[in-house]
Amino acid sequence: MFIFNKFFQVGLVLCLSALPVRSDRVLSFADHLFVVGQDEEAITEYKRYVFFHSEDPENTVGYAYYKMGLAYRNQSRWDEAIAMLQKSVQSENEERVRDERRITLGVTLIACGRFGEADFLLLKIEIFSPFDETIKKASFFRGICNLYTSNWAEARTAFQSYFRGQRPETGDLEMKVDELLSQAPKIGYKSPGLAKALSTVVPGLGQIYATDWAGGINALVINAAMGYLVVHDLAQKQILDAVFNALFLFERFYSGNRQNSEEAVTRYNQNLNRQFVAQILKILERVDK
Amino acid sequence: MTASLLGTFRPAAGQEIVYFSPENILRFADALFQEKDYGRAAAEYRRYLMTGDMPSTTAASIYFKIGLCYRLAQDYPKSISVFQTIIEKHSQSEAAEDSFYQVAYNHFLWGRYEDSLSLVDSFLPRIGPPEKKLKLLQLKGMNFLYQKKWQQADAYLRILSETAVPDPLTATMKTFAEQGQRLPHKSPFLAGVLSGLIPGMGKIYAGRTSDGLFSLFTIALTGWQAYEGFHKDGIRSMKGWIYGSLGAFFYVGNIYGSIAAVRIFNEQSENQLLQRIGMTVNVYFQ
Repeated sequence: MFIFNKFFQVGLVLCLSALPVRSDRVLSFADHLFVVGQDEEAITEYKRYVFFHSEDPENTVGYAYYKMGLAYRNQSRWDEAIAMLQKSVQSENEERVRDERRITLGVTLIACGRFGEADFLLLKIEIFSPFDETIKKASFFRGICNLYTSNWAEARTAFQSYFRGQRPETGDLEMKVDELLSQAPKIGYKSPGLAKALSTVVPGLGQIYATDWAGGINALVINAAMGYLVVHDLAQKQILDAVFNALFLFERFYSGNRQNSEEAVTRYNQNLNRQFVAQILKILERVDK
Repeated sequence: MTASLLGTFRPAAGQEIVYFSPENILRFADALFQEKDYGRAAAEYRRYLMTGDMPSTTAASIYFKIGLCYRLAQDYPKSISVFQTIIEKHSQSEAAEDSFYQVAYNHFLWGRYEDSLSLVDSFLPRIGPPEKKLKLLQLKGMNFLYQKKWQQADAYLRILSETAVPDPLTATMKTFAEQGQRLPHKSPFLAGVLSGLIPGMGKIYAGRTSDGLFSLFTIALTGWQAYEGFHKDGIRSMKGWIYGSLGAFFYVGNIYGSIAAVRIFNEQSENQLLQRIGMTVNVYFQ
C-alpha cells in the first residue's frame, strides 16, 4: 500500500496544481487549514463558504466541495469524501476540471477498495473525455486499479493506452511493464484443486505443495494418529469404536486438512500477486521521476 | 448532506458577505444543525456566544441549542453539563425550565435510569406549567419501562393516568407495561435442573429442541464410550478416562448452556418489547 500512497500523492499534486488561487477570505483560510493538515477545521470553513455562496456564478462552491472531499479523504472517511467529490463534479461547469475531479474520485474509490466502481468511472473518462492529458491519467489509474484486482489483461491495455504518445525516454519502462504484464498468467500460480487432491491422497501433501511446510507436517501427523486409532480399533474387531472414532475424530481432521490445503494455495497465490504488483509499481514509480 | 445548506442564504447582489457577523454565524450554525452536523453546529453556537454581550434569555436559548447538539451527537456528559449551566446561570429563563427535563432525559438516554428517576423527583417541584410537568412524569414512566420493572411501571402509569390530564402517550405506555408483565418468562434454575437430570432437556425447555437433542446424543455417546472403556479395562482404562473427561465436560457445558439459553430467551422477548416501545414512544420524547 506504501507504493500506492505515492501514486495517491502524485494524483493529488496533479489535481491541486490545476487549481486557481482563491481570493475569498474564508476560502483562503480554509485552504490554509487544509494545507497545514487541520482537516476538520478546514471542512467547517469550506462548509461556511458553501453556505454563503450557494449561488456563486464563478462555481467556487464546486471547488469547496472538492476540497472538503479531499479533507475527508485525508481522514479516511471514505463515504463522506466520495459524496463531496461527487457533488464537486456535479456543481462544476468546466469540463476539464470536472474530468480532473472525476479522476480524483476514481483514485479515492481505489483507495477505499471499491475497485469495480473506480474502474467503471475511469473507463468512462477514457472513452468520453476530449482531453488527452486527462485520458492518460485515467488510463494510468485504471491500470493501477486493475493491478489490485489481478485483472492483468485489462491492466496491460490501460498501461498501453497510458504510454502511447509519452516522452521517448519512457519507452523502456513501457516495454518492461508490458512484458511483465504479458507474463502475468505464467507467474507460477498453484492449483487449489490439485492441492485438495494431494491432501486427499496423503494428508498434508497439499499444504506442502503450497510451501506451507509446518501446516503440512501438522496435518500429516494428526491424521496419521487419528487413522492409527481407527485402524487399531478395526484390528481389535471393535467395529463400533472404529466407527465412532472415524466419524467423530478422523473425519473432522481429514476434511479440515483438505480444506486447509486449498486455503494454503489461495494464500500462496495472493502473495504471488502482491509481489508481482509491487514489482510493476516499482517500475511505474520511475515514470513520474 | 450539504445540499440542505444550499439555497438557505441569499446575499443581495453586490453585497459583501461579513462571514463572522453575529447573525451570519447564527445562520450558519442553524444550517449545520439542520444538516445534523451537530459537532460543528455546537462549535458555531459557541462562537456566536463569544461575539458580544447578549440578554440572558438569548444566551440561554443558544446554550440550549448547544446542549441539544451534544445530546443528538450522543455526547451525554457534555450535554448534561450545558443544560446544568443553563439551570445555574440562567435560572429565570424559559430555557431553564426545559433544561430540567433535558438533564433527566440525557441520563435516561445514557442508560442511567436510577439517576434519571431521582432527577425527575427533584426537578418536579421546580416545574410550573402542567404540560411540562406531565412530560417529566412520563419520562419517569419510561425509566421504569426501560428498567424492565413492568409491575412498577404499570402501577405508576395507572396512577398517572388517573391523576393527570388524560394523555394518549400515558395510555400507550401503560399498555406496554401490561404487555411486559405478560411476557413469557422461563426459569434458568428449572432449565439447569432439567439438564442435570436429562442432558439437553433444559435447552428443549428454552425452545432449542435440535440443540437439546444434539446435547443428549453427544453426552450419551461419550458416556457410553467411557462406560465401555472402564467396563473392559477397569479404572486404568485410557479410553475410559478420555471419553469420561470429555463426557463430563459436555455434561457441565450442557447445564451451563441451558441456563444461558433460558436467559437469552427471556432477554430476547424483553428486548423485542423494548424495541417496540422505542419505536412507538420515543418520538414523543425530544
